Amino acid sequence: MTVHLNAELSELRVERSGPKRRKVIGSTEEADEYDPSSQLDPKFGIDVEDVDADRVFPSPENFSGTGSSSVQQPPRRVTFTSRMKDDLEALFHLTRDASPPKRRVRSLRVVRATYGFGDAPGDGFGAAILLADGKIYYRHGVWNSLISNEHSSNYRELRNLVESLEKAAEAGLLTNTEVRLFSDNTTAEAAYFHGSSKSRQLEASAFGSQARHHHPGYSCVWKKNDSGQRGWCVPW
Amino acid sequence: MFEQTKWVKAKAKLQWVSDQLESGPDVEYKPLESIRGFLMYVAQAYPPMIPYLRGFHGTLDSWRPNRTKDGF
Repeated sequence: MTVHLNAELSELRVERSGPKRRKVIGSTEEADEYDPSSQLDPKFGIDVEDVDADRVFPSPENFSGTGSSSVQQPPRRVTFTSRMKDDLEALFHLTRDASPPKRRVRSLRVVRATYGFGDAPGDGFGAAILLADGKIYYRHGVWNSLISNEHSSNYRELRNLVESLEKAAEAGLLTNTEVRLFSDNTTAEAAYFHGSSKSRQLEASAFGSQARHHHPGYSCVWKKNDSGQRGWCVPW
Repeated sequence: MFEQTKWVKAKAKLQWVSDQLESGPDVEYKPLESIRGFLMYVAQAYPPMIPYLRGFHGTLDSWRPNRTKDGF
Protein backbone atom coordinates (compact mmCIF):
# COMPACT_ATOMS: atom_id res chain seq x y z
CA MET A 1 0.00 0.00 0.00
CA THR A 2 1.32 3.47 -0.90
CA VAL A 3 -0.03 6.73 0.53
CA HIS A 4 0.41 10.10 -1.19
CA LEU A 5 -0.34 13.27 0.75
CA ASN A 6 -0.77 16.42 -1.29
CA ALA A 7 -0.87 19.36 1.10
CA GLU A 8 -1.95 21.92 -1.45
CA LEU A 9 -4.97 20.02 -2.61
CA SER A 10 -5.79 18.66 0.87
CA GLU A 11 -6.25 15.34 -0.72
CA LEU A 12 -5.30 11.96 0.61
CA ARG A 13 -4.84 9.24 -1.93
CA VAL A 14 -4.84 5.60 -0.98
CA GLU A 15 -3.70 3.20 -3.63
CA ARG A 16 -3.53 -0.53 -3.40
CA SER A 17 -1.21 -2.38 -5.68
CA GLY A 18 -2.07 -5.73 -7.18
CA PRO A 19 -5.32 -6.98 -8.53
CA LYS A 20 -7.46 -5.30 -5.87
CA ARG A 21 -9.47 -2.17 -6.56
CA ARG A 22 -7.92 1.30 -6.57
CA LYS A 23 -9.53 4.22 -4.72
CA VAL A 24 -8.84 7.95 -4.67
CA ILE A 25 -10.83 9.50 -1.89
CA GLY A 26 -10.68 12.05 0.87
CA SER A 27 -11.41 15.38 -0.84
CA THR A 28 -13.79 17.82 0.80
CA GLU A 29 -16.46 17.26 -1.82
CA GLU A 30 -16.35 13.53 -1.29
CA ALA A 31 -16.58 13.95 2.47
CA ASP A 32 -19.85 15.81 2.05
CA GLU A 33 -21.20 12.90 0.09
CA TYR A 34 -20.09 10.33 2.65
CA ASP A 35 -22.35 7.33 2.87
CA PRO A 36 -22.10 5.50 6.24
CA SER A 37 -23.25 2.27 4.68
CA SER A 38 -20.11 2.11 2.51
CA GLN A 39 -17.86 1.54 5.61
CA LEU A 40 -15.54 4.21 4.26
CA ASP A 41 -13.89 6.69 6.59
CA PRO A 42 -13.92 10.07 4.78
CA LYS A 43 -11.43 11.61 7.20
CA PHE A 44 -8.61 9.19 6.58
CA GLY A 45 -9.72 7.66 3.32
CA ILE A 46 -9.46 4.09 4.57
CA ASP A 47 -11.79 1.36 3.56
CA VAL A 48 -12.28 -0.50 6.84
CA GLU A 49 -13.62 -3.58 5.17
CA ASP A 50 -10.73 -3.67 2.72
CA VAL A 51 -8.02 -3.23 5.38
CA ASP A 52 -9.34 -6.08 7.50
CA ALA A 53 -9.73 -8.36 4.52
CA ASP A 54 -6.33 -10.01 4.99
CA ARG A 55 -6.72 -10.56 8.74
CA VAL A 56 -7.69 -13.89 10.19
CA PHE A 57 -9.67 -13.69 13.40
CA PRO A 58 -10.06 -16.83 15.49
CA SER A 59 -13.49 -17.88 16.51
CA PRO A 60 -14.42 -17.47 20.20
CA GLU A 61 -14.17 -21.23 20.66
CA ASN A 62 -10.60 -21.34 19.36
CA PHE A 63 -9.39 -18.12 20.98
CA SER A 64 -6.38 -18.70 23.28
CA GLY A 65 -4.78 -15.31 23.63
CA THR A 66 -3.35 -13.75 26.77
CA GLY A 67 -6.27 -14.79 28.89
CA SER A 68 -6.24 -15.66 32.55
CA SER A 69 -5.35 -19.25 31.78
CA SER A 70 -1.85 -18.22 30.65
CA VAL A 71 -1.11 -16.08 33.75
CA GLN A 72 0.68 -17.84 36.56
CA GLN A 73 -1.22 -17.57 39.82
CA PRO A 74 0.63 -17.02 43.13
CA PRO A 75 0.68 -19.80 45.68
CA ARG A 76 -1.50 -19.73 48.75
CA ARG A 77 1.50 -19.27 51.04
CA VAL A 78 4.86 -17.59 50.39
CA THR A 79 8.15 -17.83 52.23
CA PHE A 80 9.56 -14.86 54.13
CA THR A 81 12.74 -13.40 52.72
CA SER A 82 15.88 -13.01 54.79
CA ARG A 83 15.56 -9.23 55.17
CA MET A 84 11.95 -9.29 56.36
CA LYS A 85 12.91 -9.36 60.04
CA ASP A 86 15.16 -6.33 59.74
CA ASP A 87 12.56 -4.44 57.75
CA LEU A 88 9.91 -5.18 60.34
CA GLU A 89 12.16 -3.90 63.10
CA ALA A 90 12.70 -0.70 61.16
CA LEU A 91 8.98 -0.27 60.54
CA PHE A 92 8.21 -0.91 64.21
CA HIS A 93 10.72 1.76 65.12
CA LEU A 94 9.27 4.26 62.65
CA THR A 95 5.73 3.62 63.92
CA ARG A 96 6.65 3.52 67.60
CA ASP A 97 4.67 6.67 68.48
CA ALA A 98 1.21 6.27 69.98
CA SER A 99 -0.20 8.85 67.60
CA PRO A 100 0.87 9.65 64.04
CA PRO A 101 3.63 12.27 64.07
CA LYS A 102 3.12 15.49 62.22
CA ARG A 103 5.22 16.10 59.16
CA ARG A 104 5.70 19.44 57.51
CA VAL A 105 4.72 19.21 53.88
CA ARG A 106 4.82 22.91 53.03
CA SER A 107 6.40 25.41 55.36
CA LEU A 108 4.56 28.62 56.16
CA ARG A 109 7.87 30.42 56.45
CA VAL A 110 10.02 30.88 53.42
CA VAL A 111 13.75 30.53 53.89
CA ARG A 112 16.62 30.29 51.52
CA ALA A 113 17.66 26.80 50.60
CA THR A 114 20.99 25.98 52.16
CA TYR A 115 23.73 23.73 50.96
CA GLY A 116 26.84 22.16 52.30
CA PHE A 117 29.68 19.82 51.60
CA GLY A 118 31.10 16.91 53.50
CA ASP A 119 34.12 14.72 53.04
CA ALA A 120 36.07 12.23 55.09
CA PRO A 121 39.43 11.58 53.47
CA GLY A 122 41.96 9.46 55.29
CA ASP A 123 41.71 9.71 59.05
CA GLY A 124 39.94 13.06 59.13
CA PHE A 125 36.49 14.40 58.41
CA GLY A 126 34.83 17.71 57.87
CA ALA A 127 31.66 19.36 56.67
CA ALA A 128 30.45 22.89 56.11
CA ILE A 129 26.89 24.14 55.63
CA LEU A 130 26.03 27.63 54.50
CA LEU A 131 23.05 28.63 56.63
CA ALA A 132 20.09 30.75 55.66
CA ASP A 133 21.37 33.78 57.57
CA GLY A 134 24.65 33.71 55.67
CA LYS A 135 26.71 32.19 58.45
CA ILE A 136 28.66 29.00 57.96
CA TYR A 137 28.28 26.00 60.20
CA TYR A 138 31.35 23.80 60.06
CA ARG A 139 32.53 20.71 61.80
CA HIS A 140 35.82 18.89 61.43
CA GLY A 141 38.06 16.48 63.27
CA VAL A 142 40.01 13.26 63.23
CA TRP A 143 38.49 9.82 63.65
CA ASN A 144 39.56 7.88 66.67
CA SER A 145 41.51 4.69 66.13
CA LEU A 146 38.47 2.48 66.66
CA ILE A 147 36.58 4.03 63.75
CA SER A 148 39.51 4.59 61.45
CA ASN A 149 40.84 1.07 61.84
CA GLU A 150 37.70 -1.03 62.03
CA HIS A 151 35.31 0.75 59.70
CA SER A 152 35.36 1.30 55.96
CA SER A 153 35.86 4.63 54.24
CA ASN A 154 32.28 4.47 52.99
CA TYR A 155 31.03 4.17 56.53
CA ARG A 156 33.13 7.14 57.62
CA GLU A 157 31.82 9.20 54.71
CA LEU A 158 28.20 8.49 55.54
CA ARG A 159 28.68 8.94 59.26
CA ASN A 160 30.32 12.30 58.68
CA LEU A 161 27.38 13.50 56.58
CA VAL A 162 24.75 12.17 58.97
CA GLU A 163 26.40 13.51 62.12
CA SER A 164 27.06 16.89 60.56
CA LEU A 165 23.40 17.28 59.69
CA GLU A 166 22.32 16.00 63.09
CA LYS A 167 24.58 18.36 65.01
CA ALA A 168 23.37 21.31 62.97
CA ALA A 169 19.75 20.23 63.42
CA GLU A 170 20.19 19.78 67.18
CA ALA A 171 21.53 23.31 67.37
CA GLY A 172 18.35 24.54 65.72
CA LEU A 173 20.13 25.79 62.63
CA LEU A 174 18.12 23.79 60.12
CA THR A 175 14.58 24.50 61.27
CA ASN A 176 12.29 25.15 58.31
CA THR A 177 15.24 24.75 56.04
CA GLU A 178 15.81 22.72 52.96
CA VAL A 179 19.34 21.37 52.88
CA ARG A 180 21.30 20.15 49.92
CA LEU A 181 24.31 18.26 51.09
CA PHE A 182 26.95 17.28 48.57
CA SER A 183 29.23 14.32 48.78
CA ASP A 184 31.71 12.66 46.45
CA ASN A 185 30.94 9.22 47.87
CA THR A 186 28.31 7.41 45.84
CA THR A 187 28.15 4.44 48.22
CA ALA A 188 27.21 6.60 51.18
CA GLU A 189 24.68 8.48 49.12
CA ALA A 190 23.15 5.24 47.81
CA ALA A 191 22.94 3.80 51.33
CA TYR A 192 20.96 6.79 52.46
CA PHE A 193 18.82 6.92 49.36
CA HIS A 194 17.94 3.22 49.49
CA GLY A 195 17.72 3.06 53.27
CA SER A 196 19.82 -0.06 53.28
CA SER A 197 23.15 -1.40 52.15
CA LYS A 198 24.94 -4.70 51.82
CA SER A 199 27.15 -3.43 54.62
CA ARG A 200 25.42 -3.80 57.97
CA GLN A 201 27.29 -0.83 59.39
CA LEU A 202 26.21 1.40 56.53
CA GLU A 203 22.67 0.11 56.79
CA ALA A 204 22.48 0.88 60.49
CA SER A 205 23.80 4.37 59.94
CA ALA A 206 21.43 4.99 57.04
CA PHE A 207 18.48 3.75 59.05
CA GLY A 208 19.51 5.89 61.97
CA SER A 209 19.47 8.97 59.79
CA GLN A 210 16.10 8.02 58.33
CA ALA A 211 14.59 7.31 61.73
CA ARG A 212 15.94 10.40 63.44
CA HIS A 213 14.60 12.62 60.69
CA HIS A 214 11.22 10.97 60.72
CA HIS A 215 9.69 13.86 62.64
CA PRO A 216 11.32 17.16 61.63
CA GLY A 217 10.54 19.18 58.60
CA TYR A 218 12.05 18.74 55.26
CA SER A 219 15.60 18.32 54.17
CA CYS A 220 17.36 17.09 51.13
CA VAL A 221 20.48 15.24 50.18
CA TRP A 222 21.88 15.76 46.76
CA LYS A 223 24.42 13.62 45.11
CA LYS A 224 27.17 15.47 43.43
CA ASN A 225 28.38 14.09 40.14
CA ASP A 226 31.16 15.08 37.82
CA SER A 227 29.04 17.50 35.83
CA GLY A 228 28.20 19.23 39.10
CA GLN A 229 24.51 19.96 38.58
CA ARG A 230 22.42 16.85 38.36
CA GLY A 231 21.26 15.01 41.43
CA TRP A 232 18.15 13.97 43.24
CA CYS A 233 16.33 15.05 46.29
CA VAL A 234 15.37 12.85 49.22
CA PRO A 235 12.60 14.10 51.51
CA TRP A 236 13.27 13.35 55.15
CA MET B 1 -2.36 14.82 59.40
CA PHE B 2 -2.57 11.07 59.28
CA GLU B 3 -5.63 9.60 60.98
CA GLN B 4 -5.20 8.04 64.38
CA THR B 5 -7.31 5.02 63.49
CA LYS B 6 -5.21 4.27 60.45
CA TRP B 7 -2.03 4.71 62.43
CA VAL B 8 -3.23 2.12 64.97
CA LYS B 9 -4.35 -0.11 62.14
CA ALA B 10 -0.90 0.03 60.56
CA LYS B 11 0.74 -0.95 63.83
CA ALA B 12 -1.69 -3.83 64.26
CA LYS B 13 -0.94 -5.10 60.78
CA LEU B 14 2.79 -4.92 61.43
CA GLN B 15 2.25 -6.90 64.61
CA TRP B 16 0.32 -9.55 62.66
CA VAL B 17 3.20 -9.93 60.21
CA SER B 18 5.67 -10.14 63.08
CA ASP B 19 3.62 -12.89 64.71
CA GLN B 20 3.52 -14.80 61.45
CA LEU B 21 7.28 -14.42 61.08
CA GLU B 22 7.85 -15.87 64.54
CA SER B 23 5.41 -18.72 64.04
CA GLY B 24 6.89 -20.07 60.84
CA PRO B 25 8.91 -19.50 57.68
CA ASP B 26 5.91 -18.80 55.47
CA VAL B 27 2.77 -16.69 55.45
CA GLU B 28 -0.49 -16.53 53.58
CA TYR B 29 -0.16 -14.58 50.35
CA LYS B 30 -3.41 -12.61 50.23
CA PRO B 31 -3.34 -11.07 53.74
CA LEU B 32 0.29 -10.10 53.27
CA GLU B 33 -0.53 -8.51 49.94
CA SER B 34 -3.32 -6.53 51.57
CA ILE B 35 -1.00 -5.37 54.34
CA ARG B 36 1.62 -4.31 51.84
CA GLY B 37 -0.93 -2.16 50.05
CA PHE B 38 -1.99 -0.48 53.27
CA LEU B 39 1.59 0.18 54.33
CA MET B 40 2.31 1.71 50.94
CA TYR B 41 -0.57 4.06 51.64
CA VAL B 42 0.94 4.94 55.03
CA ALA B 43 4.34 5.46 53.43
CA GLN B 44 2.86 8.17 51.24
CA ALA B 45 2.62 10.29 54.38
CA TYR B 46 5.88 8.98 55.87
CA PRO B 47 8.44 8.47 53.07
CA PRO B 48 11.19 7.18 55.42
CA MET B 49 9.17 3.95 55.58
CA ILE B 50 9.50 3.30 51.86
CA PRO B 51 12.91 1.53 51.86
CA TYR B 52 11.72 -0.92 54.50
CA LEU B 53 8.81 -2.21 52.46
CA ARG B 54 11.24 -4.16 50.33
CA GLY B 55 10.89 -7.18 52.58
CA PHE B 56 7.20 -7.27 51.70
CA HIS B 57 7.87 -6.87 47.99
CA GLY B 58 10.49 -9.59 48.01
CA THR B 59 8.37 -12.00 50.04
CA LEU B 60 5.32 -11.57 47.85
CA ASP B 61 7.32 -12.14 44.68
CA SER B 62 9.59 -14.86 46.05
CA TRP B 63 7.53 -17.56 44.31
CA ARG B 64 8.38 -16.25 40.86
CA PRO B 65 11.20 -17.92 38.92
CA ASN B 66 14.79 -16.67 38.84
CA ARG B 67 14.64 -14.90 42.21
CA THR B 68 17.33 -14.62 44.84
CA LYS B 69 16.84 -15.34 48.53
CA ASP B 70 15.68 -11.74 48.93
CA GLY B 71 12.93 -12.27 46.38
CA PHE B 72 14.44 -10.02 43.72
